[in-house]
Amino acid sequence: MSERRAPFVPNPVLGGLLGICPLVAAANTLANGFVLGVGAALSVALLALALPSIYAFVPDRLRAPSSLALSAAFALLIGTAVEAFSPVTARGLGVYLPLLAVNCVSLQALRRGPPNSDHGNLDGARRIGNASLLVEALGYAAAATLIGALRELAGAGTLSLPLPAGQSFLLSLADESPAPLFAAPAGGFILLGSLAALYRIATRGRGRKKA
Amino acid sequence: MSYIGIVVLTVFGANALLSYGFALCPLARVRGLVSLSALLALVFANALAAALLWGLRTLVLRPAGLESLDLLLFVLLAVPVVKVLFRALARESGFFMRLSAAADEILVSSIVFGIALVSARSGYSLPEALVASASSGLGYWMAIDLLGALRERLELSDLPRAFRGAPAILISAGLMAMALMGIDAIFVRNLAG
Repeated sequence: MSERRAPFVPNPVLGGLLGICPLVAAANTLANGFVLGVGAALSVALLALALPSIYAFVPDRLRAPSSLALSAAFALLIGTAVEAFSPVTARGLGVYLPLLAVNCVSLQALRRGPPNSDHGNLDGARRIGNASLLVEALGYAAAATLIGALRELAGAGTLSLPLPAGQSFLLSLADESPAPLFAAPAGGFILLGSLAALYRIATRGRGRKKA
Repeated sequence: MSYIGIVVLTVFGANALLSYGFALCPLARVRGLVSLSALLALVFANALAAALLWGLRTLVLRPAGLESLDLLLFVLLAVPVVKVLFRALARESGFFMRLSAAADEILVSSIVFGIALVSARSGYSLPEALVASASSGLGYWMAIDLLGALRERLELSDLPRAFRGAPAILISAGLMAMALMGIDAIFVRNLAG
């Protein structure tokens, strides 16, 4: 079955409200949103690569715990890389970096497991399944970065990104914080709710056209 | 901080859902009240997981300087132990059987992992970590129940179409989180010691 979809539609965050836990609490800067989004996408990509081997060599009963342990190991790797690249961002994200292991987008990849085919074309099914997972993960990363950027703009009036060797890029757009509420989880909820409503308005036409 | 202070702080000020944003995915479909067995499973699973992670970090990982491996060891040791314990209890009584079924779903979610990590990394003693994690489960239940009830009322109101359902619930959660923002550690320390 061939399925044609516009990129990032349906978006797992704005359309499906998947994996929104860290975005509401910790994605209050562009850097945090970017790291959370790319970290989750990377974790899904690594799981998509590793799960077929787990399903091939690990007995049924041990598949779920070993997949979860693998996801935790990937989260640990990503956390260590972030800590090495930007300790400030790692400190800002706190427990949300290890929690990439149980991010709903990664858990969805774990629950689905490697795609099977009823028609014997396992490689083809695997390619389509992995591609759809990766598109979803990229959509997650894009939404997480957008939410982080909007919250930093509204909350602090700046946009900042850490660069290698302790440098950072900072764009200051306002002298003082326009609405500090958006840096707090309460603002995260309100922004995410508003974006989800806007996303519905923007994608409503697509549903009607299909029908 | 006193035990009452820890309970007040974790239920209101540092609420698992409204402040930490743990396990938000059910928010999109929550409706009405959550069952008592789900609440008890959540409280037991949180307390057990937090106690195990606290033990792992304090007794094994900290002396070896390997605290960053806490999540990996937690997944490998604590999750199976909590699962086995719930299943053993489920064999004893029907009540625990219902708890075990609910706990299986809860156990692999950000709420149990997140609360266990926060409790273990907050510098609490074991009894404090137990109280904090159990009351975090209570706080989550309170928030999700309030939002479930709110959703039922919102369905009867004349909201713009785009805001119906999950967007309205998220904005309501934001307003509720704003109301609880003032209850922080300093306020609780003054209030309850």
